[in-house]
Amino acid sequence: MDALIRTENLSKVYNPRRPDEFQALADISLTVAPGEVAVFKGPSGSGKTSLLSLIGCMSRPTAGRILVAGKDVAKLPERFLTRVRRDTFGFIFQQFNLIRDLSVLENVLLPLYPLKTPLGEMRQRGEEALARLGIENKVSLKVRQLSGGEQQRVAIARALINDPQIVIADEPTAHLDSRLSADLLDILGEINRLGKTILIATHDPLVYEHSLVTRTIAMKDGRVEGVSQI
Amino acid sequence: MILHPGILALICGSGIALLMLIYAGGLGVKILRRWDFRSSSEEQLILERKTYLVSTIVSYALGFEIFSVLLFAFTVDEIHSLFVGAMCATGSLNANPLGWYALYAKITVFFSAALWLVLNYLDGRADDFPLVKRKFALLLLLTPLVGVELYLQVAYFLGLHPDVITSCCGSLFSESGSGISADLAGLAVEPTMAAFYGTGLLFLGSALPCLKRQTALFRYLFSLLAALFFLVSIAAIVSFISLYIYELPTHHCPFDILQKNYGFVGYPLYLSLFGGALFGILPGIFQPLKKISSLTPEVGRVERKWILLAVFFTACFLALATWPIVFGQFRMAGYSLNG
Repeated sequence: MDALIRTENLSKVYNPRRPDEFQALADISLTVAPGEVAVFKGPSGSGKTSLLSLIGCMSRPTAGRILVAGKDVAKLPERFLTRVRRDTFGFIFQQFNLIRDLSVLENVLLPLYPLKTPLGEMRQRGEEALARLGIENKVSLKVRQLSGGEQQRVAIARALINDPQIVIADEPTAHLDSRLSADLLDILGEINRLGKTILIATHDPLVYEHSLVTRTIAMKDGRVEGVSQI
Repeated sequence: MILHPGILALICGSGIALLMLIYAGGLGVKILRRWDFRSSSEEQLILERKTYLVSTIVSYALGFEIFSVLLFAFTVDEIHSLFVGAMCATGSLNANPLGWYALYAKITVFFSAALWLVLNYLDGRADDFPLVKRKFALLLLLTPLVGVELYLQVAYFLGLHPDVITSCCGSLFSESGSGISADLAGLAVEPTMAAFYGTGLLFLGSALPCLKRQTALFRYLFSLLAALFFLVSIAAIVSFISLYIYELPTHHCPFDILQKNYGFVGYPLYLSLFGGALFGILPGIFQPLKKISSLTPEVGRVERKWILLAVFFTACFLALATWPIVFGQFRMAGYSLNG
């Protein structure tokens, strides 16, 4: 099967040619097929988050290629990247990154505003996404009134609202207990069954040893140490 | 030098624009030598990111250069009262041998800068930088041009002395004088009028097939007529349009119309003329870019706007030029009959 994501000799250097220069990634070449659940595992500082932010077009590589559905996003100017980011990726962050004083529905609808979707359709899609995650009864509550697990679900609903092809989750279980982590993996499993490709950065064995995972990419010091396909 | 705000703004603005262009020229040389879009090397990625930043800086610099034509016209008109014998911008331009060259340089930079901005706009519409090499090659040609323009402006303004007795427009744009300005003033009114309205209507009419069909030939013809109409219009302003605005049978000056006495009509007249000419020549000049696959739809979409803008500006120009002929008190008939 053709790769959905392919990186070729990817490298990322922060603060290049300065005393605090830091090579976060070096010569990363890998592929992820459509529908896979790929986990990037490794200790803190191994380059997992840097790699996911490059693949998700949130930062730019220093050298190398990133092909997403055949398109080299490493070379795209920022104004084109915005569209790729918006149409292709859904992001689930470690810190949730929700706006605490907005309601659950308002948070979920945020990615739709730039698309000028009609308000009625936006509400409908938002409510459907929340219902899929079992928190449809929290629609009007402020985010600060929710528990950690509920906030995680809101973040997932927001990531899915644009119907992205690829969902990127960065340390999604870092702030969850084992029960909520298991719930989260169930949700990711459901998302995957909808045909979404899922990329997860984690150092949590509960995640990378889960049956859902189809590919594990072990990272250390900004390099790929090994890839195992399950 | 005369310390006039307009002069200071023109010199400082063009100086800053030139510095920006020289900086951009450095990147341009690098792009012409090292650009390889297929490569994902660090150097190539840095070039790709820098080109966007530098192009934005250059856009502002050239945007000023376009605006500065207007400022130049306003300034030379404004300072004419300082020179003995000057009645308008013509007198100011005659006060130093470099005056007219400075004006011609500014008009040349106006059109070149506008073309570069359009090239840059189109380059930004595609994600594969299809015009980057051409854009920076043109920039390398534009930089010395802006340098020459700055030199002429500085030399012209530095060489202005209020005690100089200059010749006024009445002697320069006189049928009995010599040179191209006198030749234009001496053009027979009726044939010039016929040529003016003939090419104007032909130009406007040629927009129709361009809007209906995608044929390249129509676009080349449209642009050719735009250039021709621009030249005929300059001649027409000197030959007869000015006469109707001044309501004087012998006053052909193309600059007095910029003054308050004539309602500043020269500004909208020249803006619409230059706007029509610029948007008119674009479809023909950029026609070959339709062969670049990533630009084909964008050029097709934007050229329609250019044609409509050219028609709009030209219609405005024709209306402004025709208004005093139709609705003014002045009639040329008696003067023509008397020779």
